[in-house]
Amino acid sequence: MIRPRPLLIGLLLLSGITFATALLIGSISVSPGTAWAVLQGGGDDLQRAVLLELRLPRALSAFAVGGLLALAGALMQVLLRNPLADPYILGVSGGAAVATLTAMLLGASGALLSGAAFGGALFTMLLVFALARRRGSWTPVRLLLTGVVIASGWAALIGFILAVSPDTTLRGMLFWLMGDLEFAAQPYSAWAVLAVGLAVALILARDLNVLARGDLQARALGVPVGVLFPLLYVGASLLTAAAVTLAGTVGFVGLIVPHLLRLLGGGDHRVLLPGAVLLGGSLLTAADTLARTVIAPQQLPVGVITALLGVPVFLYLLNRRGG
Amino acid sequence: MSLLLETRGLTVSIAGKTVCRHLDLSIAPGQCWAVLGPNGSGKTTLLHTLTGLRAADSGEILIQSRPLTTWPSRELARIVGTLLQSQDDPFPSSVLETVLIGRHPHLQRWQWESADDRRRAAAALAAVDLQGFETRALATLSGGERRRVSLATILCQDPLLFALDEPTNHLDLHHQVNVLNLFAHAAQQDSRALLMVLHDITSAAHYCDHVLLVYGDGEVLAGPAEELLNEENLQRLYGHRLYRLHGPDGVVWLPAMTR
Repeated sequence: MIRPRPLLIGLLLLSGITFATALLIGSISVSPGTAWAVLQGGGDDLQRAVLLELRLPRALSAFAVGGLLALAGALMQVLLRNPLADPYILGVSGGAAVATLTAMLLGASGALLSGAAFGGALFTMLLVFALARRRGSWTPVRLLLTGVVIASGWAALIGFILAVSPDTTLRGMLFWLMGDLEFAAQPYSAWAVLAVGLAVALILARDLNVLARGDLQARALGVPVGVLFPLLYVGASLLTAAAVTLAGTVGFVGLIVPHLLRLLGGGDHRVLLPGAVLLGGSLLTAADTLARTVIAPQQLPVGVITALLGVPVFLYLLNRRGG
Repeated sequence: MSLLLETRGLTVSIAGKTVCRHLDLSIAPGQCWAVLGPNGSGKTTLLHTLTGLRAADSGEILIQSRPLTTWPSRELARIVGTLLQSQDDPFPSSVLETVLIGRHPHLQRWQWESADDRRRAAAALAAVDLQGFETRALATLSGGERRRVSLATILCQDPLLFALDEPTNHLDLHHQVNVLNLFAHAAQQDSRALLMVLHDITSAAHYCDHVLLVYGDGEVLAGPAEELLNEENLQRLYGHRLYRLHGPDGVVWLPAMTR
């Protein structure tokens, strides 16, 4: 168990290291000195192009997506009071996937795909919200069941779209479904969502500590559960939508990062939430650096690496703690 | 001294079943109330309604002469504390973190638990015989120890009205007596009061000066324990014969062992 301050400082350092590595490593190696010069406005054209137009936006995207998913996962786990919850459990990503794959099938690209992803995510959020609270009752179990059923519906539609799609578009679709940062060049709106999301989450952090112990217990201690519940749901869904819009459905980060922090000693949401952003961002940035270098020039979907990297780390921490 | 809790014409129902009808109840500081009744009669429902965890069908509940529904939730949680019948813990947590949750309504939004809050938590743990358990993980506790952590949490919350739903659940006899003594004593101090759901009539008779008998058909008797705790009322309440005996510490109520 690590105390809150050393834990957060360590995660900040880790974030800095993974981010710097992402800028320096690739088909063209850049020395730290050169990178610093480029960021100051120097360097030659090739170095400037590689660093500022390719690697920087991509590293920023990776970090934002990782942070968004880890934060959304932590919030979703409290909302549903279920340690197995992840950002995708209520079907937000499934809705985004159906809309995006349909757009791909129709030949759309670029901003249209992002628009489709965000629209599909938002539509699912409203649909599950409306169906789950139809009789006015808003229990986590009802929300979970509604979301899981909607997610299964989307999964079936995804299977259908994949089955009828021509081979030429299948590869792009599969990469999107596994999570891919190759086309993530505009991370700025995702960073805005992440900043607002983290700020709101930090305001509510101590309430979440109480809510994690049950909504009756939370109300008995003066937490306005009736307001907090929909706020959490909408917040976690929007964070997920922003991540999925940028990078497709990167798995694993949203489920595992909150648990990693609990294992490291950050069970208090005032530490867990900022910690999740830093650790999720670092994990995805490191994974993406590997995804574009391991078998270069070919790129792997980042979601594959995330799990390959995260599974052993998680199992190690789990066993170390048990022993 | 103004009343801590008062109801006027309170009607409560759950799943189409009436728990109480037009109940008028007054709980004054210093009083100790036992809620008695058979399984499913609505004791928990009534307790939750009185503490604002669920809505009443009709009638009014006043906390310190102010309508319950107009209290800001955090302020109310400093006046009324509810111990739930059971507690599940989906996420790992230490005993100290769990007890400190009780300080939530006392802290400002950006305030962290202070050394004083930690002292209160340690004192609450000591009061329920769990000193030294601070760093233990909840998952490693026995049922009775977990129950005592919940009791320490509500001690740490430090409300004026303790509303306890079966506080002696899972506890061995020694700790049952300890806990009842602890809260009965707490209720006598600083104009506090105690309202607790119990199944042991002997404890109710010993520790409480008032009782609420919840019959389950809408009828509720509320009043001084010595008036209401008699063989006739109790036999009708439980549908079971009870004997009133005299033990070394006072009255003992025993159920007939044959049907």
